[in-house]
Amino acid sequence: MDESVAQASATSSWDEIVRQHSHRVFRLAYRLTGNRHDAEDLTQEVFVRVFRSLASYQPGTFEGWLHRITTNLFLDQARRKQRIRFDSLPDDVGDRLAGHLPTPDDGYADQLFDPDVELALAELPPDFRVAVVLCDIEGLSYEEIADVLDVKIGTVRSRIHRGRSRLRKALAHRAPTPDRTRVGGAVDIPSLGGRL
Amino acid sequence: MSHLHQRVSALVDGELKGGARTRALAHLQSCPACRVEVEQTLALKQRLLGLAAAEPSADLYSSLAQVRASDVPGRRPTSLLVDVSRKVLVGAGSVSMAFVTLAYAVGGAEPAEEALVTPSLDEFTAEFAAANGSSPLSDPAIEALGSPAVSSQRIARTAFVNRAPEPVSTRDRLAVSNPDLMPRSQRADEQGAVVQLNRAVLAHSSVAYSGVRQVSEVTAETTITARIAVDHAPGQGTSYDVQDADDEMAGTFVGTAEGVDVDVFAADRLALLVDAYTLTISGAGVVAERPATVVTAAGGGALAARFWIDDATGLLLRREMYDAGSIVRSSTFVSLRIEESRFLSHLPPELAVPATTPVSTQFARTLDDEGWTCPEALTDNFALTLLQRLDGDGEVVHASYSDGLSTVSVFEERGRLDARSLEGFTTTRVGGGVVALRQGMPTTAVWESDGTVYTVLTDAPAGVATSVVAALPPADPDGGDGDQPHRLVRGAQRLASLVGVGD
Repeated sequence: MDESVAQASATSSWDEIVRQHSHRVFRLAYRLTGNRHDAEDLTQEVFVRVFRSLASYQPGTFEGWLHRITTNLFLDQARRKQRIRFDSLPDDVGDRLAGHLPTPDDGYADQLFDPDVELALAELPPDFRVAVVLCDIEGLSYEEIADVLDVKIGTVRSRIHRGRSRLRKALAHRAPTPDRTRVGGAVDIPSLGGRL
Repeated sequence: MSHLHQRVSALVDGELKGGARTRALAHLQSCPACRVEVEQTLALKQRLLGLAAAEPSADLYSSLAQVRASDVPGRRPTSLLVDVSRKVLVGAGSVSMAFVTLAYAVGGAEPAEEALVTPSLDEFTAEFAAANGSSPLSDPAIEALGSPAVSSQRIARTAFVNRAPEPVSTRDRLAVSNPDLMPRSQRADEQGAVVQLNRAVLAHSSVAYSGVRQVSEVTAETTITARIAVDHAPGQGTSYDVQDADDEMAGTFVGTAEGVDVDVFAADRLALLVDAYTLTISGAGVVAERPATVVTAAGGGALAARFWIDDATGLLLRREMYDAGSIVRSSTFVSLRIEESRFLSHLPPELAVPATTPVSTQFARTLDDEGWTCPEALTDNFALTLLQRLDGDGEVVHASYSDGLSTVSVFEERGRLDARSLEGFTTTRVGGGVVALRQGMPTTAVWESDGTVYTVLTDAPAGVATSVVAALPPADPDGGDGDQPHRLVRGAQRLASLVGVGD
């Protein structure tokens, strides 16, 4: 195999990796960061990391590996942002929070646009957000999440539960319309049992 | 069965198996509250699942494809990339990882099949914060800083320790050495001081307020300062907004709101404080433009803490902790607004509290029989205030101790310490064994002793923490058989110099 063939082969393999996985990574990044710009940055960083680490990658679940890289990079970034500040309180926190909100011209508002949930999710502490997103949006089991985050299953369970509790509280505060959040009322136990 | 709590999520996610699932479903039959929670959780899951999937822009794909072209050319043979990407695309087998562990294996006496334990530090921190936050005389801001949501800040704080003191620290030190105290009366008797602290306990459960607290932690090297916006509604809870370095909200938290339980704890904590320290009214002061009475707690002849108690409402306006006579932490309102209307609608309950739902000492004895370390007191001052088994995939016993000022939470798990999980810790030999230590809020120490992993979290000053930690079983030697009592003494001495930053 001469050098040019090897080069071409490497290129197409990389293209294939990008093609197969970029959408998925971007969607996860979007749910974690809460906005398109940060999501694209994070996705870019994930693939740089993937490229650099391919040599050390051991055969396993490639998607699990991507989950791990994406969530770890996200949590690293979130932690770097959280520094204790020395001076006074900002008075434009509301403005900046609003700046993170999706805007209608972002081009995805035509689907199930649910700004209340998006905002509530964006306000969750990063550790909780990651756990809830991996569980409810990515559909991972607790065991898979524990593996991705390298924490115990008990911690996963606790984070998911706390994250959801906060989401429920946040959504309750936003005075949802009755058809959005069901509150109270009798529950049909047999059907519930069937669903669980 | 009490409410399902975390099991609601586990049930909805299909993560409860067998008997646990059967019991949870049976509980739902008889508990409307949990049924509502299950329904809401299901609805929430549906809503999250229904969120629109964002699509990446067209540029993203092409820029990702460029990654390999732009990345460090020549550092890796291209043929390797071909092999590797094929491996990726086929994808089989399992990931093998090289774990970096501390040198616990050197002894070699333990059976290999013993479970590796990874302390769930986030979870422990949350439990510690909950135990700590139940005391009105502890600093509510500490609960916020100890919350898992800002756990990364503990790491940030560690990094800050090496920085030169910010100007604010000078002001703070000046204010401390020269507090604007005016002599109001000669030393009142201890009873007067207890009455004041009682007002603070009652205010915690009766006064609604919002304000900004400034917390400063003083070490030998520097002073760390954080500002926290606090919103407190008695019986409902406390929310905290911690400000981070980028002017952004680092997180919003809601503290414990167990209502009457908190009052019970509060009375207990005050009793501990009265028991452990000499309390006096030392004068009057002004905090956030509000007149206050200053109560001093001293132990062994040294100043341990000072409390500024609002004359109008009884709220704890400022709190200072001392270690060997030097201030180590202060928390003070820089602004405060009392919500009068809520105050009126939430009159304090009578202090004659209902019988406690206590930590049964019998339970402690049972645990003791099973080989857990949960004495009823750790030192003369630190009494057992809370005992629980944590709900998780491994058995964890949590024993929490308090002297009325500080909280020490001890978490115990069977097995061998998996030290690779301890990020941000420094490891040091202690009396022939190894202890991992992380300074911060709270300070965390982890070690293994005779097949049990101990994780201790505390907000106590270093000197106090040292004596408390020394009362627990010492870290295993990593080679040879030490003489136990001897090791304990040496361990205690070593820990003293370890934990005591300023020593």
